[in-house]
Amino acid sequence: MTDYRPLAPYALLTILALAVALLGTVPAARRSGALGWITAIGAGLALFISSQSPEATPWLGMLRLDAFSKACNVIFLAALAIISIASTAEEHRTAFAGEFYALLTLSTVGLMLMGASGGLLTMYLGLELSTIALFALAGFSKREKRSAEAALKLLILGSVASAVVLYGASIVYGVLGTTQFFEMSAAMSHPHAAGASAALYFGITFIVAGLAFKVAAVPFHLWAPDVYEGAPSLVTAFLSTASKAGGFAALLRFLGSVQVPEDRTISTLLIVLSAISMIVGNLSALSQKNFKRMLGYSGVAQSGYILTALAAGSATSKTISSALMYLLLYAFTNVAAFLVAQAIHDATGSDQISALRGLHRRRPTLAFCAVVVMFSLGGIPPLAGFVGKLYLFTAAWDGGQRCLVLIGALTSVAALYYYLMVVRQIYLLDPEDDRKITVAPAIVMAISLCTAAILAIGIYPRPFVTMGEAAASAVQVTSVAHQREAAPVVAASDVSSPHLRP
Amino acid sequence: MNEWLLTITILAPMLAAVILLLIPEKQGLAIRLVALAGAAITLPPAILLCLNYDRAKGGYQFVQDFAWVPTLGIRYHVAADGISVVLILLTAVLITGGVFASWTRPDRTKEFLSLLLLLVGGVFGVFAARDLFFLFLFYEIAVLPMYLLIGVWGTSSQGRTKEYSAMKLTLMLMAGSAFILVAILGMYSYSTVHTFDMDALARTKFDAGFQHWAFFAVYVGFGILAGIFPLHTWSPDGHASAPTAVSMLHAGVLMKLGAYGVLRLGIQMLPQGAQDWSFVMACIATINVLYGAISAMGQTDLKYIIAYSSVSHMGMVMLGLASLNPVGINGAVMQMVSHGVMTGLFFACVGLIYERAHTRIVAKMGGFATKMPIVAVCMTVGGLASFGLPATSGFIAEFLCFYGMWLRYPALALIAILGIVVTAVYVLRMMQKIFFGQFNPEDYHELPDARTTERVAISVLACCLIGIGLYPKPFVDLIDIGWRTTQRPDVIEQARRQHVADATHPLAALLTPSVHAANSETNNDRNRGLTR
Amino acid sequence: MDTASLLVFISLGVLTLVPALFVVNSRSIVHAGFWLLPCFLGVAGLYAALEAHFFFVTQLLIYAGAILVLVLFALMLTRNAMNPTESQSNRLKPVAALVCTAFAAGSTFILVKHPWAITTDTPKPAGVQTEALGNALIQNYAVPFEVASLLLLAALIGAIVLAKSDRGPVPEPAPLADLTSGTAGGE
Repeated sequence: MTDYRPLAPYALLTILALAVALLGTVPAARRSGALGWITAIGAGLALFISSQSPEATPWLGMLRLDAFSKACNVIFLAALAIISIASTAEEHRTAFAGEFYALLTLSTVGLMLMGASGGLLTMYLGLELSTIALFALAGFSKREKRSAEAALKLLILGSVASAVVLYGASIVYGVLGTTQFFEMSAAMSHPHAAGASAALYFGITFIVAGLAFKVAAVPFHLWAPDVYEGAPSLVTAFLSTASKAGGFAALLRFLGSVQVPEDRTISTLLIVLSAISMIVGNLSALSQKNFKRMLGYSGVAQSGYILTALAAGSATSKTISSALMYLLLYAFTNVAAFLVAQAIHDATGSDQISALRGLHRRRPTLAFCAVVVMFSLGGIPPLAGFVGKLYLFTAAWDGGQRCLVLIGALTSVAALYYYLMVVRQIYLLDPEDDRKITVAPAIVMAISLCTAAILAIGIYPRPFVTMGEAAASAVQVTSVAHQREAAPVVAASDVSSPHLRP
Repeated sequence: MNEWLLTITILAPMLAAVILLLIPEKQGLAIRLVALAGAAITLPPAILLCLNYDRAKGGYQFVQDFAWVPTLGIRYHVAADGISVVLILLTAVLITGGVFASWTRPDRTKEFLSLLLLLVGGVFGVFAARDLFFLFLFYEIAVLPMYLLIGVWGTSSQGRTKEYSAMKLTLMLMAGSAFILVAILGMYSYSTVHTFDMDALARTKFDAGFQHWAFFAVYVGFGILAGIFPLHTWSPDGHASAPTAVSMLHAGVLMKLGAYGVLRLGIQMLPQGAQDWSFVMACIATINVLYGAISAMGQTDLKYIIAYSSVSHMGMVMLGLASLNPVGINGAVMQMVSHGVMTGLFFACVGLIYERAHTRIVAKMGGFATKMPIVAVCMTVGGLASFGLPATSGFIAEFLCFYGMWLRYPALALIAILGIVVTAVYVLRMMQKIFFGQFNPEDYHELPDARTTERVAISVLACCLIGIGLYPKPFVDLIDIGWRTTQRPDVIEQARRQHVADATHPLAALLTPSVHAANSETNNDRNRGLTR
Repeated sequence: MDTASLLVFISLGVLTLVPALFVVNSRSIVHAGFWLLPCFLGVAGLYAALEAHFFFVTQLLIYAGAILVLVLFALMLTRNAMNPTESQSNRLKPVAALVCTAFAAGSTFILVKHPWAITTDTPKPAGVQTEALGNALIQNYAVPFEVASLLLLAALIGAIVLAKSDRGPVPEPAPLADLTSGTAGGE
C-alpha cells in the first residue's frame, strides 16, 4: 500500500492555487492584498509539511519524495513565499491578482514535480506545467508592449525547448525501453546497450539541451535577457530563480540517478556549456545599461558557475550538494535583486541602472540591501554568494575541472566590475533629485528577509551544506536501491506502448 | 582568557562597525566615540598578545579551534605566532591613529568609520587565521571596503577620478584574489583529507610540480596587493585618491597583507615552490625598490611621492622574503612594521598639511616648519626612517633585508641598495622644500599646527619609529622565534639532517657571489640559517 | 519491415510533414490553421498503422475534430486574423533551413544506424490494449495523468488572463498552440 502522506505539500499547493483563483473573484480580497498573504502562508505551510513528511517513492518510483526533493522544495517555496509577500504591495493589486497567485503556485507545483521526478515523464510534465504558467505570467503587465513580447518569446522558444526535451526523451525511451531513471541505469549496464550508445547520447544530449534552455545556459540563453527585461520584475524574480532551480533540479536528478557509462559526451557537453556561459554571460553583462537586462546576463553567467560543478561529474555528492546550496542562496539573492528593480521601477518608472543613482540618500535601507545583494552576486565574503561559489569550485576542482575553475575565477573578476558599477550608482554618486523615495513596506520586508538569509547563509553555511549532502546521498542511494524493484514497472510501461519493447 | 584574545581583536572592530550603522547620523560625537572604542579596544589585547607570547615555547599560541562546516573541512581556527602578534599590534596602533585622523571628517562619518572598522577586522582576521577559508574570507573583507572608502570619500587628482582609482584598485586586487582562490582550491584538493586547515595542510607533502605552480599563483595573487612590479599600478592612484585614514591603513597595513600572504601561504606552506621562484622574486623586488624610488623622485604631488615610496619599501619587504633565509625574513617582517608605522605617519602628516594648505603640490609649499613645528618634526622623523638612518626602525629593518639578500644573491643586494640612495635624495629634497624653504604668506593666511588629538597620534607614531630603532630586540625576537618555530615539520627535519653534513658558517655565502652558485646552494643557506 | 508497411509509413510521413511546412510558412494564419488538418490526419494514420486503435480514434476526435475547430473559431473571432499578414519568416530563413537540413541529416544518420529492438509480438486486440492503457493511467501513471490536468488548468487560467487584455492583440491561443507544437516542433 502506497503511503500518500508525502504528497501532502503537492496537494496543498494545488488546492491553494484553486482557492486563490476563486478568491480572486472577490474584489475585497484582491484589493486588500490578502491573496498574497494567503499564498505566502500556504507556501510556508507546504514547506513545513514537506520538511516533516516521511520519504516515499509512490507509484513504483514515478515520484521520488526524498531528501533531494525536500531540498528543492525549500528553494521553490521560499521563492514563492517571498515573491508573494512582495506582490502584496498596493501597486501590484491588479484585477488579475487571483490568477497571478494561482499561476505562480501552479508553476511552483510543476517545479516541485521536476525536483521529485523519478522518470522522464514526470520530469517533462513538471517542466511543461511550470513553463506554461510562466508564459502567462511574463505577459502580465498588459500596458507594456515589452511584456507581451516577453510572453511571446518565452512561449515560442519555451515550446521549442520542451519539444526538444520530448524528442530526446522519446529517443532515450526507444533505446532503453523505459522512462524511469533507475531502470535506465540498469538498462544501460545491460550488455545489449553497448551498441546503443550513439543514439542514446544523442537523446540525452537533447534532454540536457532542453533543460539548458530552462536554466538559460549559453547558447540557449538568448531569450533570457529579453524576457527578464520585458516581464514584470516580480515574475522575473521567480523566472530567474525558482524556474532556473527547477531546470537544475531536473538536470541533477536525471544525471545524478542515471549513471551514464563512459559519459565523456555528456561531460564534454556540460564543460562547453559551462565555459561559454560564464564567458558570454559575464562579457555581455558588462555593457548593459538596463538593470534587469544586466541581471539577465549575470544570471546566464551564474548558470555557468553551477554548471562547472555539474561538469565535474554528476555522480559525486559534492556536485549535487554544492549546486543545490548555490541555487538556494541564488534564489534569495536574485529575488532580492529583482525586487530592488521593482521598487525602483515603482518609484521612478525606470529600469535603467542610472535610476539607482544616489539611492543611499533617497532610501538608505534599500541601498544597503541592494549593495549586500550585489556583493553577494559578485561572490564577496562574508556573504552567501562567496560560500556558494567556493563550494561549487571545490566540487569542480575535485572533479578535475581545473580549467573551468580558472575561467570561473577570472570571469568573476569581470563580473565584479558590473556589480560594482551598480554599487557606484547607489553609493558613490549623489542623486540628481534629493527627495526620499517611497517603497512599499511589503517589498522592503521581502528584501530584508532575503538580505538576512544572504548574511545567514554566508556566515554560517553549515545547516545548508548538511541539507545538500543529505539530498545528494538521496539521489545516489535510490539509484542503487531501486534496481531491485525495477521489474514490475517494466511490465507497466510496456502496456502503454507495446511496440517499442526491446 | 588567552584563547579568546584573537577572536576579541577580530570581532571588536566588526561589532563596532555594526553598532555604528545603528546610530543616527546626527549623533556625531557618539559615532566618533563608538568608532574610537572599537579601534582602541583592540590595543590591550594586541599588547597582551605580544607580552603573553611564550617565547620559550614558540610556535602558534592563543589557539582557538572548532569545526565550522565539518563536511567541507572548514574550521574556525585562529592562532598567532611571533610574526602575527607583531603585525596585529601594528594594526591596532594604526587603526587607533586612523580614527583620530578622521576625527573631523564632515560627511557621512558614520558609514566611513563603519567601513574602516570592518576593514580592520578583516586585517586582524588575516593575521590570525589558521584556516584557508577564513583567511581568504578575512582577506576579502579587508580589501573590498576599499572600493567604497576611496570611491565615496576620496579625492580626484591629476586627471584621475576617484571612481577610476577605486575601480582599478578593486579589480586588480580581485584578479589577485582569483589566483589566490585557485591556489587555495589546489591545496584543498591535494590533501587527501580535504581540509582548509593550515596546520593539517602543513603536514601534507605537496609534490614539486604542484608547489611550483601553486607558489606562482600565491605569489601573483598576494603580490598584487604587496605592489610587485608591474602589478603595482593600482597603488599610486589608489593611495593618492584615498582619504587620509584610508591611506594610512592601506599603505600601512593592507599592503602588508600581501607580503604576509606570500610568507604564510607561499614560503611556509610551499617551500619547494619558493625555492624555484626565489630568483624571480628577488629580481622583481629589486626592480620595485629602484623603480619606486626613482618614480617618487619625479612626482610633484605629495601623496604620489609617498605612494611610490611605499612601492619602493614594499620592494624591500619582498626582497627580504625572497632571500628565504631567517635574516631576510626577519628583516622583511621588521620592514613591514617599520614601514607600516612610517607610512601611517607620512599619510597622517600629508592629510594635516593638505587640510590646512589645500594643496599637495610640493612646489607650492615652503617654510611650513615655523607654522606647524610638531608636524614638521614628526614627518622628518618618518623621512629619516624611510631611508634607514640608524637609530630609527628603518635602519634595522632595511639592514636585515639587504643582509639577507646579500647572503643569497649578493649582486642583487648591491643593486637594490642603490634604492636607499635615491630614497635619501627625494625624501630630503621633499622635506627641505616643504618645511624649510621660503614661506609665502600671501598664499597661506593661516597655518595652524596640529590639534591635540592629531598631535598625540602623530607623536606616538614618531616615537614608535625611534623606539623600535633604538631597541628592536623584543620585536626581532618575537619575529625570529615565530619564524623558526612554525616551519613545516619536513623542512625542519631536512634542516637537521643538512646541518650535520654541512656546518659551515652562514657568512660563507658571502664568498659565493655568483647567482648560479647561490641558486644551487639554496637549501643549504636556508638550513644554516634555520639552525643558527 | 516489409515493403508495404514501409510505403504506408512513408506516405503517412509525407502527409504529416508537408502540411506542417505549410502551417509554418503560410502568410495567413487562417490558412495555417486549415493546413493543420492533413497534418493531424497524418499523425492519426501513423497511429492506425501501428495498430494503436485508441490513439487513432483520440487523435481524430480530439485533435482533428475538437482542437482544430476551436483554433479556427478563435482565429475567426479575432480581429484582423482573416487578412493575410506579414511573412512568417525573416531574412535568416535560408540559414535556418540549412541548419535544420544538416541537423535532420545528422540525426537521421545516427538514428538509422542504431540497432533498434523491434518486437515480433502481434499487437493485442483493441479492447485489451485500451483496458491496459486505462489501468496504467489510473495506477502507475496516475501522477502524470493528474499533472496533465493541472497543466490544462494553468493553460486555461493563463489564456484567460492574456485574452482579457486592455488593448491590442494578444497571443490568445497560446497554451493550445503549445500542446500541438510540442509534437510538430520535434519532427
